[in-house]
Amino acid sequence: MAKYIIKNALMVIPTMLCVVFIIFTINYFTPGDPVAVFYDFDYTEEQYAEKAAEWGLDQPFFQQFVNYIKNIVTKLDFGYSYYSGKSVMSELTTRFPVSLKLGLISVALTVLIGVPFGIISATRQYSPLDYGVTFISLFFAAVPGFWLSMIMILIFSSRLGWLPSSGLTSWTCYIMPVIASSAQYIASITRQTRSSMLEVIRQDYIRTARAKGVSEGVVIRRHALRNALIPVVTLIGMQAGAVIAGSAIIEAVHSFPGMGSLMMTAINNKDYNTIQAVVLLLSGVVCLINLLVDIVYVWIDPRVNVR
Amino acid sequence: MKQTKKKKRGQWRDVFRRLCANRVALVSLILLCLILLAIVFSEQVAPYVYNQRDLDATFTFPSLSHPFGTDNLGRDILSRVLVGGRVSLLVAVLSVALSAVVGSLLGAAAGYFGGRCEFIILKCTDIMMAIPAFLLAVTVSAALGTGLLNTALAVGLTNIPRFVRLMRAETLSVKGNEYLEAARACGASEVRIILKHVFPNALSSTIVNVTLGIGTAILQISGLSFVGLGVRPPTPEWGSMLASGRTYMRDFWPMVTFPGVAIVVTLILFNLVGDGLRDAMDPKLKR
Repeated sequence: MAKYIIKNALMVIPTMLCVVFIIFTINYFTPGDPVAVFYDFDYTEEQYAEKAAEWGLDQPFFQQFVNYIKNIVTKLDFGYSYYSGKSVMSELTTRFPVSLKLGLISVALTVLIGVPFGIISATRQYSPLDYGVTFISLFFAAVPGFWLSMIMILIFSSRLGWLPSSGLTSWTCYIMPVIASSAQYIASITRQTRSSMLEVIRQDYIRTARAKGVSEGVVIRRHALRNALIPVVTLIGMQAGAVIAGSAIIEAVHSFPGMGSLMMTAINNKDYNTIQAVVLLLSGVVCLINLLVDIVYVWIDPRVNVR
Repeated sequence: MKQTKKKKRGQWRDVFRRLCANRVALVSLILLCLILLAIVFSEQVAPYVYNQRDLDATFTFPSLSHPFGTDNLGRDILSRVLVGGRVSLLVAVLSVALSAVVGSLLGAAAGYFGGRCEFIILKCTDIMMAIPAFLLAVTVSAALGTGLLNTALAVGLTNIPRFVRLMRAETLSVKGNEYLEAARACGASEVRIILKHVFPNALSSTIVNVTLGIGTAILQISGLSFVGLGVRPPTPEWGSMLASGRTYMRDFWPMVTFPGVAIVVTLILFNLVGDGLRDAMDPKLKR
């Protein structure tokens, strides 16, 4: 068990290195001269050379890449914002915890609502409750989070005045962004849980368990759920990334002081270094969530360990 | 040769019959076809020219003459939603075509050849999947710039992994079968075996994946356009229309409502048709 966890944890390092390499390369070849943009195309030769040297842009590609990695690993330094000239990390230190909190609450909500509703829906197949859950999840699976955000602002902030539409002044500010970034994924987790529960419930070993007199609750919890959860956990791992990435736009809609709004501003300013830092940090979070998912696998499916 | 053709047609007829028996799927297929027709022929169907400004009639709420109202420049929102759908859909189809073709070829190669080839392809997809799809699309799109083709490329690239995985799994499932051995014994080349004997087996699951993939692509494209990448105004696109409506949202709801409703309705229909197709093509899964 420990060996499996350590092996998976170590695998995160090469994966992240490759991720950094891909994003860095794409950014490197993105057209546009950051120094020229910083000075608004009005600079002397000396100014240019000085700024390029400060940002390390005068070095060859590979050297730049190595420096980038070195600075991240040793100093947690993501370089300078090509727009403001300030260190990217100085912006991120206050924003990262906010986004992380929003992302993790949304992922937690996705699991805590999606899985139980999927189970209830499957165990009472063709009941009005099942139809209700199926219909609602079908609808929300098709709703883009950022649109849901805007509609919620229209209804709950502009019309009813119940919830603050933007900013982060109290915990109520989390309500709409969390709902918006998780609704779509709650729906798809519900659908997946329902269909894989339905598949498992039909298996012979469930009939056997019922035949030997095991109570229905135990059949569902011990025999059906554990098997049904395997594909669900895979999906949760895949969607954690989507939830966190999607919350980036939603943050911007709510002017939430997180990394998402930072990224939106950076996109408008063509501030590629900041975009790069945000993408890398969020990918890192997703990698860690996937590691967690791998560990949960062993817990629900002991066969994984053997392999 | 004639015989096999007949059999093939029979198989598709079966699929169609099962699809028709599923009332929800059939109704959604018909509705989806109607919407697609309206979108494809949007310039003929639309009541107004989509970019015709009328500065005397800006921000009008829905009425008989303008069912969805008019926007900040007095342009008819219904016409823009229809024409915008054409852009969204075109980009979505292009991007899914890209990811399906590239992904399927890579997946088939990985499953068929195995060994180092498989290892490299799978590792690459794993790494791509470590980056949240939308963020990867943002990065690629920022590098390529805006526009229809670049957006299709950015979204298409990020969705390659799902097709790689699907095709690899399908290839592995038929790999040990005797008919592949027979084909090889007849002297068929590797490429021919993959194209003629491996692909057809994966066709049904690929069609389902494509249908569901177009829905996902529409979502991603509208997201990209919403953040200012992707398709930019004045080209109408559902996401960019929502972005421009956001400015006036507090006082004028139609601009942010109708393009969103269009996305939701189209996506629901694509999902229902996709689910219906899956049930129709794989009777074993039938609930």
